[in-house]
Amino acid sequence: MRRNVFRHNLLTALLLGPATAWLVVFLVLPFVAIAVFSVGERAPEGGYQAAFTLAQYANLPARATAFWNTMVLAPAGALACLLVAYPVAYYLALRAPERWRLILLALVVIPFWTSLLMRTYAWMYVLGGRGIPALLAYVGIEDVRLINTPGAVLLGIVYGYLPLMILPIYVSLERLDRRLLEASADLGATPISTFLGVTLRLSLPGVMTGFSLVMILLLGEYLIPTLLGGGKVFFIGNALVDLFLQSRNWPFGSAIAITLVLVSVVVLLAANRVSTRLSGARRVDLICCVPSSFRSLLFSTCRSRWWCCSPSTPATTPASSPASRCNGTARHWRTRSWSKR
Amino acid sequence: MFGSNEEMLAKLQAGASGWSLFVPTNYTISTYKKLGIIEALDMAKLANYDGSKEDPRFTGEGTIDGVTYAVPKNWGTTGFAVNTKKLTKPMTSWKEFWDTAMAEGDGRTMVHDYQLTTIGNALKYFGFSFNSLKQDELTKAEELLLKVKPHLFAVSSDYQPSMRAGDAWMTMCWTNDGAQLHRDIPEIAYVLGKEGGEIWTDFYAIPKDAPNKPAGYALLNYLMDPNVAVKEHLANGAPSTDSRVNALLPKEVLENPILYPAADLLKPLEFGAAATLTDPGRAELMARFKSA
Repeated sequence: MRRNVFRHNLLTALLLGPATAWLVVFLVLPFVAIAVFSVGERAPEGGYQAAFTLAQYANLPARATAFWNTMVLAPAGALACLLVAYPVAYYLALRAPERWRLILLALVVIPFWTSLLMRTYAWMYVLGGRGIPALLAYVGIEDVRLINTPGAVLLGIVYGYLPLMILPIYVSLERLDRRLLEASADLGATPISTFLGVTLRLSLPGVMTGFSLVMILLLGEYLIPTLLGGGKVFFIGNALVDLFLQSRNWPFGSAIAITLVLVSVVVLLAANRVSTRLSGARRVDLICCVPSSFRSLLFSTCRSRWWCCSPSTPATTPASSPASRCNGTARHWRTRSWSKR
Repeated sequence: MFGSNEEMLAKLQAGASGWSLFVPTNYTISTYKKLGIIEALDMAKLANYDGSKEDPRFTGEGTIDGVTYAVPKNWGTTGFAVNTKKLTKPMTSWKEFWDTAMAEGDGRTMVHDYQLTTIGNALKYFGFSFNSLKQDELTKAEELLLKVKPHLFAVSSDYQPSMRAGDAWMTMCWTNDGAQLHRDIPEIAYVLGKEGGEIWTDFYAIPKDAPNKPAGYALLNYLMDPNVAVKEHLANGAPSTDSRVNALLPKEVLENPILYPAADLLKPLEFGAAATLTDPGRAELMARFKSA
C-alpha cells in the first residue's frame, strides 16, 4: 500500500513537472522581475534604472481614469457577453435536437481558429465608413459613425469572447438533471419560476466561470479598444502598452502591472465567493469548462477510477470527498440512461 | 512601421529588434548614438551615396562630430489633411484645425499617436515653439488637448484608412500621406499651419546588433542609387534630399505644392528637438492625454 502511494506520488510529480517548470520560468520569474522593476526609476532616456522607491505606486492615481474605465467596462462587457451567451447555451443544451448539437457547438468554437486580431480587423471594415454606414447612406441615412465609439468596443468584446461564455454555461446546463425540471412542473411551478428557481440556479457555477474568465481577460484587454475604439476608449491594458512602448517608463508600467494582477486576484476570489453563496456549489471550478464527455475520456484511462466521476458514484457522497465535485456529471449520466429506456 | 519614433526607440532599447536597417527621424539620431544603439556607417560600403549632392538643410543631424551615423532618405512636413467636401470652410492654421475639431469636425478629427506632433501642434495653437519644454506652455497645450479629446475621432498615426473610408474628415498628416491621399481622392487637401509646425528628415541607420550587417549595407547602397531612389520617392511621395534624384523626377512632382510648399510656409517650420524624445514631462503629458 505504501509503495503504491509512493508510486502514485512519483507519477504525479512527473506529470506535473513540465507544467511547473514552464510556470516558474515564464510566469513566476517574470513576475519577480516586474516586482523589482516596479520599485525602480525611469532612466533618463527611458527604460529602467535600479532604485528602491515607492514613487511609482504613489503615482498610480495618474492612471485613475484608465483603471476606472477598465473597472466599469470589464464587468459591463462580461455582462453583455452573458446576456447574449445564456440563451444560446440554453438552446444548445436543452432545446437543440441531439443530432444538430455537435454541429452547433462546433459553430460556436470555429471562430476561435482565427486569431482575435483578424476577427477584430474584420469588424473595423464592417463598422467603418465603407461598411454599415455606406449601406445606411444608400437608404438615405447619411454620416452615421459606428467605429471608434464605446458601443463598437462593447460589440467587439461580446463578439470576441462569446465562446468563452457559452461553453461553461453550456456544460453546466447540459448536465442539468431534467427530472428536477419535471418535478418542479409537477409541483405546480410556472416555467418562469422553474427557470429562475432550478435551471438558472443550477447553472450558476457555469455562469460564474464564464463571467470570471471573460472579466479577467477584459481586465488586461488591449487589442479591441485600440482597433475599435480608436485609442479613445482607454483600458488599463492600453495604458500599460503606452508606458512600455511610448513613454518607456518601465517602473511605472511594472507598478501598474502588479496592481492589475492584484485586482484580478481579488476579482477572482470575489467571483468564487459570490458563486458559492448563490448556488451552494462548492467552488467555481475551471475544470467545468471541459465538456463532460471529454473529461470521462480523459479520466477513464486513469488508474484510480473511483476518484473520478464514475457513474457508480452514489449521489449521497459526503460533500468533502473529491467525487462530490463531479456528482453532477454522475447524475447526468444516469439521467441519460434512464431517459433512453 | 511604428506610429511614433518613441515606439521604435522602445523596441531598440529592449534589444534584439532583429533589424539590419531602419528609418529614424532626424531628432532621434543623437539619442541613438548616445545610447550606443546605432553604429557609425562605413561609408566605403555606400559607394552610391554622395554627401556633396545632398541639401545640407536636411542632412546635418545624420553626422555627429564629423562621423556619419545615418544617411538621409527624404524630407517632409507635418500639416493636416482635410476632406474639403465635408469641411468646406477653408483653413490655413493650427488654430483653425483645433477649433474646427471641436465644432464642424466634431467626432471626425484625428491626431497622431505621437507626442512630438500632437503636443507640438497643440503648442502652435498658442504660438509657442513646436519643441517647447517649458512647464507653463506645456500646461496650456495639455488643457487644449484634454478639451479636444472628447471631440476626436481617434488618436492614431494610421490615419489613411479612416480618411479614405470617409470616417475621418480631418487629420494631422505627413507630406507623403498627404500627397498619396490627394492623388487618389482630390477633395482631400493638405494644409500647412501658418503658425509653423514640423519639418523633418527621415534617415537610414543600421543598429549595432543588426543580425545581418552586410545585407543592411547592400540594401542601403542599392537604395542610395539615384535610379532606384527615384522610384522609391515616386511611390512614397515625400520629397528627396538628393539633388541627383530631383534631377530625375518629373516636372509635375517638383511643382506639387504638397511636396514642395512655398518658401513662406516653410520658413516658420521647426525641426523636432532631440530633447523632446526623452523628456519625461512630454511623455507623461501624452500618456495623460491618451488615458483621459
